[in-house]
Amino acid sequence: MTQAAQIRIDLDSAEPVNRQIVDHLRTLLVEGVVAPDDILPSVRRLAIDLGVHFNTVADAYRTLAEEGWLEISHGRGVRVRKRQAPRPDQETLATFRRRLRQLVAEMRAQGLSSAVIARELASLLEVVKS
Amino acid sequence: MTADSIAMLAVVLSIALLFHWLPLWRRSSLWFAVTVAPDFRNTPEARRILRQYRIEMWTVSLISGVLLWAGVRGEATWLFAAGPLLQALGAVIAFARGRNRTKPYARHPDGTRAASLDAATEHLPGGAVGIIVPYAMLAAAAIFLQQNWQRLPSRFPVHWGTDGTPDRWAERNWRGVDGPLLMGFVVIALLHVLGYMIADASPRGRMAETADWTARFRRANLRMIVAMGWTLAALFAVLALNPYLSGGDALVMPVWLMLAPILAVTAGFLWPIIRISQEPGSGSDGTPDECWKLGQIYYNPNDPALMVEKRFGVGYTINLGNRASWLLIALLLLIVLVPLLL
Repeated sequence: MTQAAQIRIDLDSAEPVNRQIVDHLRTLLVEGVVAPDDILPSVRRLAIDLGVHFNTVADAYRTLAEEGWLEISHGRGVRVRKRQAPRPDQETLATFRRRLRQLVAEMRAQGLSSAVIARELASLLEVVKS
Repeated sequence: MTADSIAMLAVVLSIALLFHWLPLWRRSSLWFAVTVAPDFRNTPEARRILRQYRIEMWTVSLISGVLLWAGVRGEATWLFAAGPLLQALGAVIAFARGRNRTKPYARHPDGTRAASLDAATEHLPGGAVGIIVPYAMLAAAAIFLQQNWQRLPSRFPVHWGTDGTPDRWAERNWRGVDGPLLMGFVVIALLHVLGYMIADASPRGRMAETADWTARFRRANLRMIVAMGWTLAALFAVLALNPYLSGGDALVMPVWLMLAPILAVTAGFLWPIIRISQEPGSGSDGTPDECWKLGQIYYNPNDPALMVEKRFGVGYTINLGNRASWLLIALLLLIVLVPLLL
């Protein structure tokens, strides 16, 4: 993990803070910014740095541990696990297809052209592949 | 004018000068403990608020000086204590009034927060050596005094007036001989606890764009704490060794020579902190304005941090909304009260 790796949240956002932490950390994990065997800050440290309740961070770490990304152990902190991606079923695929359609529709509604959207999706895919 | 009155008036003047500049030693997006636009300090409104604060603070300082002078002349002893108290209280009220005048120009603080994913534990600068050496100095002085017990006078002074005349004595027993070393141990241990709390329980930087500033500010504060530990250890060791070194009622060195290293270290290590605090682009500190009572007391039960950056003056202050802070205050009171009751 690079020293500059940071997690960002927005306290003014309607999205719950624990959800924001999960989403941002998962993005960093998928993109490889945070790699297997990296040690993450303790619940207490991250809560103090972000200025949010301990339970909020603990809840986010627990969610990612349930997804198989993290290993939480007392005394040894929070370690990133080497995770085998599960085989997606048809229902999962349908859920993400629906969410992608909604997102693309929102982008179009904001005035972005199909070409720009396609380019953005392709570049995101490249990041994940690398 | 006696040496006592000159010394006390010099203290009042020094404190007034400190309060004069204190509101300017803060992050660039804070003005009188209120979150404002970064360039607010250059506006006529900001200058007017600062000017009004300074007029009020200097007026109170002048009254304090007069009270102190009257106290020194012996007109009423209580005036002697009332002067500095009034000055401190006056400056606090003047700052709170400045804060109220700034509130109409407040800007909604940015809700974005960022935190480093670096899991490394931060230690005090200098590592183990930085912490152990002050205790080793005190221990060495204690061993030396123990070995030279018979050479110590049976009665020796432990307190002197500003003119160097002794006004309090102690007997040659463990309390009298090792008392200064024990006091030094407690003071240095408290300093180290404070340093540990800053390193471990204060935010490492809540705003992404000012994380570097916060890291440098924290480091400069921790360096000062370690340096003060060394200086105080030397001072308490010299005080404890004084009966052996002087052999009589005199101090082994003048009071000013004892205080000079403390002032020099404070000034030398405070200066970089002040420099950092005045840099542009340091933004805000990520704490809500409404949790700052009078602009100086931080009370936020929703913030897990035990220590946060001060908004009036440099350094760190305690979060009274954190239950651990009350335990700490109780411990401090215990340390102060127990020796008085014994």
